[in-house]
Amino acid sequence: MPERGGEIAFDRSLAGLTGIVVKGFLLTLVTFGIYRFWYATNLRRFFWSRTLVDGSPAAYTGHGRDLFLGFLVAIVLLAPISTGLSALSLLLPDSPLVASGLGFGVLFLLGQFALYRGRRYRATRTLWRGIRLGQDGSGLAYAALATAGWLLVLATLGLAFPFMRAALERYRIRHTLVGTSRMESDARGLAVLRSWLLLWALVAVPVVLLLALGLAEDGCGPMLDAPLTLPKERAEALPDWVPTSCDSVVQVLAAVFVVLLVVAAPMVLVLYPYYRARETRAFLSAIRLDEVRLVSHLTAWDLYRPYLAYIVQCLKLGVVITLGAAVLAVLATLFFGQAVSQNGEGPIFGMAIVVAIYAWYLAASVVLYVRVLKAGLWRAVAETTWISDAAALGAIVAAARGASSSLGEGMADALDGHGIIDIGL
Amino acid sequence: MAALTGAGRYFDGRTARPVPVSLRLEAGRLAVSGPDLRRDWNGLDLRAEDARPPLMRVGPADTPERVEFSDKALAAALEALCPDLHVGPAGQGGTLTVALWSMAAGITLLGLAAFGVPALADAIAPLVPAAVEERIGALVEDQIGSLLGNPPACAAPEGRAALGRLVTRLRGDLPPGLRVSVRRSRTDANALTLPGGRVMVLSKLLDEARSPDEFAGVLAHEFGHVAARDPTRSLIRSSGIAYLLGYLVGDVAGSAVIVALGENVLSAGYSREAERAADAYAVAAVTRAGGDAAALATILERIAADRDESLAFLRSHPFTRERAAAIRSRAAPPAADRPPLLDAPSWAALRAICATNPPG
Repeated sequence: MPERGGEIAFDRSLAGLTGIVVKGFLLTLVTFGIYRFWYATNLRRFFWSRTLVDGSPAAYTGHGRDLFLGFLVAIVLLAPISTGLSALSLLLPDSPLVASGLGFGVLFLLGQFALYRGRRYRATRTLWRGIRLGQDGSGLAYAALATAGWLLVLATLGLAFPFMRAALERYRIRHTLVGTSRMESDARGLAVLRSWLLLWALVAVPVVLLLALGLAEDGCGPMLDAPLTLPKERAEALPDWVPTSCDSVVQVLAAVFVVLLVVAAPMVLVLYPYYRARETRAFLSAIRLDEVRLVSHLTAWDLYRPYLAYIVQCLKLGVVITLGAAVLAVLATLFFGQAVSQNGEGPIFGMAIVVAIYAWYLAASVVLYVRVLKAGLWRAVAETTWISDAAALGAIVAAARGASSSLGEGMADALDGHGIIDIGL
Repeated sequence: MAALTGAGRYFDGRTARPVPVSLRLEAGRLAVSGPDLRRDWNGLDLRAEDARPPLMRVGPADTPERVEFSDKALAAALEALCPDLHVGPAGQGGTLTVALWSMAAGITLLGLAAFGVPALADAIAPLVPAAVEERIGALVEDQIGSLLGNPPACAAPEGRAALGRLVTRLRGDLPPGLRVSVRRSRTDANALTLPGGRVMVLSKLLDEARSPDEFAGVLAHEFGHVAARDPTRSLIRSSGIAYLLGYLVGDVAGSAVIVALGENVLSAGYSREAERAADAYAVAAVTRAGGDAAALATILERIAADRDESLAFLRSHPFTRERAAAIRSRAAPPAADRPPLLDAPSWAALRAICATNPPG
């Protein structure tokens, strides 16, 4: 076997993944959603075992039944909380803002707590060369840190975002263990501030212009209205350069604002993966485990490629399915034309279109989503990451730690919009 | 069978240090040998972990020791030799077992939503304090109002006085919080009961009613809902069902539709039951007040006939017929010389309750 020390590799063939996805999706449908916990487990086992760190595969040892139990406990624990929150909005009918703000705050705290505890479940179910990963620290402390971070982001109008991300990353990594060795991170927000500012400016400039627009309109408003409210002879006495110049200023500002908004909104969407790539590279490269460092060479293009591939594949699939449906519909009218002609051909074509759209949606949102997008992003991050000194990894020693509870995963399933199918540590 | 040999890496499961070893598969046993290391494993004990072929990670089931190698021939020979190579740890069921159990769990949770939550709602609804119910009612009235396009309230004084007389004759022992309001509507002949004893009458109902008895029947039907606290029960029930179904289904594609659909289907049965009970209440109340209880059946059928045919066919029509029959079988014919529930001037004033409002 060729020793490829120092490398993190991911299986490019993805053999067997489509089967897991199709089986998992169909069984999830017939079990009213309950099978999703076993589906998620199978997906994780696949992704973990196809990821080789210094030649050895990672292993995921979690069980679907753990996740299911965590889910059951979570719905029982969350029931009084959500009842209480609805009761709160009834008790404070005059201040809906306070009630909804409080509700949002509680759910946000719980969500962050669940994310952190869910990560602990996954870490303690991850083995590499027989050595279990672990996570200590407190879910409550993490939730408090996240809340403080987001408040700071709001207070600084978004400028603090990379610093908040770095603080949370440091907390996560510094409480992650591989065997008895503790991971260390010196992730800094300053390192990605420039990339963030690019994104931030795209939003900030139109907002500033909007404010300027408001001010300009305020300043000009009375004068613009003046001819309507004043007696006619006095209106004519007004110097006519005031309305026209104000008018043109407002018009120019409005036009600039609309253009910027139209350009900025898609630009932010397009540029976000760029920021995430910079951030992932900086944060991964900041990770240390004893003498070993991670080095990431992730480029923005590495993250764009899976998204583009996903879009292209979805379009290709759409074309193929449309053609297939058209051929089927034509064949159907040829064979059963006699019988159908009384009712007209509408229903058959209509049915074919509905079935084709649904098949396309299903295949695209389920199979291609995991196979092309999820696996593509995973591979992009894995294969651009290197281990500085693979030989030093040999010094890692297993710890006598057990696995943790799955409550966090269950709560995250209930609270997190993305659902449990999202893969990742 | 000739011995197969290959090279691999040995891990003791306690450290991450790889030890280069040579492997030899012979006579059903895997021999591992390296510097200061000799293992001789029985093929029947070997288990393989998940890995992408040709990489194989294998070791005895009861120890953390493993060897990794990427030798196709050796991997194939091990696959053939070791029957339990891919058997998971005990207690890990197969897909079919898991699928059947999760189907059972799903059905149990559905059953909880279908039977447990309504039972819970029946138990909780009487415990809701009147003040809370009142607040919920105010909120719901706002929402319904904006759903209907904020119809103006009708308050012609003579009409209100006539309505008050009718309510007094019908209310029986309903709690004092009872409030009946009339809203202008030219499209919908209906009446609604909201939490907290709020009854909302849409004025088209007054236009459709041909006698005070017909209108009294509908009003008494709504009072039946008030007496049973149906709005509060149904509110608790539908939010409980939505909560449970929402978490049950999770984040599968199109889950919002599934939840809404399921909630409607599960609620429909209970709402029919509630309608029948309210009909029975109405018959008793109208009869007690000395009116013709069968008039409720008449107006019910007339309004249902006006409604959208496809909807009527699917849902209300057979149910309406059944309800009308049940009402008629319960209703005793009124005395021939009874005074009317409302005299002619009062009835005219009630029907004109919206008249002073600006046209809306």
